[in-house]
Amino acid sequence: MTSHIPALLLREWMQHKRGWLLTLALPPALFLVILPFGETHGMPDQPLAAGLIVVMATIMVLLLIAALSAAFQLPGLARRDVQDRSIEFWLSLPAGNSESLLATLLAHTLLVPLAAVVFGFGIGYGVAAAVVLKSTGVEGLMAVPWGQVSLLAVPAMLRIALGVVLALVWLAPLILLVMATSAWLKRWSVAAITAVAVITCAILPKVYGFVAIRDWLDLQFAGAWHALLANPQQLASSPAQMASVDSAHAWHWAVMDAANELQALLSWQVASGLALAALGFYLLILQRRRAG
Amino acid sequence: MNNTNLIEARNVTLTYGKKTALNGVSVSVPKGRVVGLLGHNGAGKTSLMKALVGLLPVQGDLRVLGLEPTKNRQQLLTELSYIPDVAVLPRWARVHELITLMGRLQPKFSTERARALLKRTSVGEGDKIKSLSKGMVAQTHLALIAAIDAKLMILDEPTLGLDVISRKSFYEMLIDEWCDGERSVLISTHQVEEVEALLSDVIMLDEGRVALAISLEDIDSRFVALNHDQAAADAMAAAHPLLRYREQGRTTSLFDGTPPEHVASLGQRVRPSLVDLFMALTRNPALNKAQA
Amino acid sequence: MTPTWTDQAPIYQQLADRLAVQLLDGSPSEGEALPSVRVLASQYVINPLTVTRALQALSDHGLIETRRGLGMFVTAGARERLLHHEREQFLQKDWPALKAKLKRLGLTAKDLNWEST
Repeated sequence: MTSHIPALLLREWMQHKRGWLLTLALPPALFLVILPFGETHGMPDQPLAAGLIVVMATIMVLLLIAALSAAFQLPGLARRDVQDRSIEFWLSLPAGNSESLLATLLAHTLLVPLAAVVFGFGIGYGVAAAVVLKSTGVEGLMAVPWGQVSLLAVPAMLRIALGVVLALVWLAPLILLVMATSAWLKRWSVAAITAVAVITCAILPKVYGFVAIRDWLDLQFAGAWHALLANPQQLASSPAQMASVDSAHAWHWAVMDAANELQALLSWQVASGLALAALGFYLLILQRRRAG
Repeated sequence: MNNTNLIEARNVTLTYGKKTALNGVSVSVPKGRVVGLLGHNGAGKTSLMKALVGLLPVQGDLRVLGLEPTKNRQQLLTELSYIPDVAVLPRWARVHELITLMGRLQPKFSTERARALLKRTSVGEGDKIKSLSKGMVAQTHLALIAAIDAKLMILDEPTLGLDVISRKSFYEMLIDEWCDGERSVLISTHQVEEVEALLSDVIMLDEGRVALAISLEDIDSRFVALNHDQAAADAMAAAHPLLRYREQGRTTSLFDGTPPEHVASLGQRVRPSLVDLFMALTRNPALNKAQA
Repeated sequence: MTPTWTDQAPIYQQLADRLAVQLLDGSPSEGEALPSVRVLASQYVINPLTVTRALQALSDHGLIETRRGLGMFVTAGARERLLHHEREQFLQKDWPALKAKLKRLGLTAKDLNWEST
């Protein structure tokens, strides 16, 4: 059964590669073009910190862009292929409904954000060099200890990459329920989701004092955020401290931080979320069956 | 149950809410046949085809290639090829991308064959589906499906939108490549006169029921069409023909079974065309509306 | 090009008649093999089962025979038999109607220019 997933992932690549490449490559390119004309503020004096901060910032910004882009696309993805009836073509080929949905989710919510992290890391060095050059000139650029930057950036990047996977576990119910709403309610889904959000997070708490749902949602988001990057302060609480961090310490931090977050997954909060996620997945499959 | 029949349906019923799409349909299709599925719009042709490929659950006994369609859909789809509609190819894709994806998803698909078949058309491998005319999309879809080495081909109006030359080319391909005595084709079409010579069997559906399921060979022996002049009209009418139609001053009366001797001698025996038989045995919904 | 089929007789019969006409013209000639069922089906764009019926009809009339493993061949004397059959058909069915028409039009043997055709 799972043997169709590579082919289905290839389909996602074929259909969306242009959008993905543009979304990830354009912002850094634009930034580099604008950089000569702008000004840099708030850059730390410490060369190591300066380099590291820009690399990490690049990773986080690209990740944010990828996440936002996925968020915008997911409702449409739930209804993809139905409007032009091409779903009938896909349904005439072997590849189960679960496989197809899984491949779509994997590609857009996991693989693309991970690619953003890795790409951000790679291109981050270039961006960092450009920014440091801009703010402190050639001497500043030469002063950056790129080796040591890497010693800290690599474990941090890997921690964030793992964080993407873990955050997905927390966000899964929201992702799948939003997609299911979009698949079933189509044009009305935006209104429906907005209504649910307003009711559960504003009206129910304020008028009736019923905060359970809002609090549950808060915990999901907080969990996701922490999963991504829980305690960067544990690594180095100030730019000056960064210079004294060595490789072993950095890796130790990354592993401990990750372990904490993995442990956080073993909770009723997450379990309840995954149950809702399963419901969302099932609803999506139901809708796909009816489309044939 | 005859295990060598590719399709074996016994008392198959399909209901959507209040509507009954198929009502007690029983048909068998052995291997090596080209079966025409005829019916007015809404008679149940598409529903039957969807049921055969497991897209719609039915009551009653249904086996396709020995499998239960809804339960073993994935396995079934690796052994048959199905065109739900020739206009449903994904519009974002390029032809060579579809060839690649089909090669990976459909084990019986032959990339070389698909390429060879496409060469006979005016469609290029680099073309985007959305840039192709409706006829060219149909040609592409047909070429892709013809490249699948399936035991059973289920085609829902495959020649819709094709010009005469492309249709003839398709019929030639059907005879050349698919009539090897091992495969069977189930084809629904409105161009009954064009395909009559290609068929070995015919199934006529009328409002969800089988009006007639017979081999063309048996039609020649069972139905008697007598061409006669006006003088014999009353005698003919008295023998209760299924249908009478006029052409160029002469009338043809169509009987199910041999009419009495004295009546038979009044006219000249002609071949009942499939179209005429179809008109005689099924109720035209447009006519029904007009009469109601 | 594929010829169209009339409504006068079942399609297999029409195909058999066409093949018979070709036999009369000597193609293929006696002792020679007919094209295979698949080739004929492809040529006339007809279902192979119908082609088989047509060949069966010709075989029933003794015009062709099956040689095991080799295919269908034109029997010896087939042309003669066919010619005789066609002549009978013409004289009994087609000629009386034609003769009546000639009479109606007042045409005589002299008008027909037989020798020059």
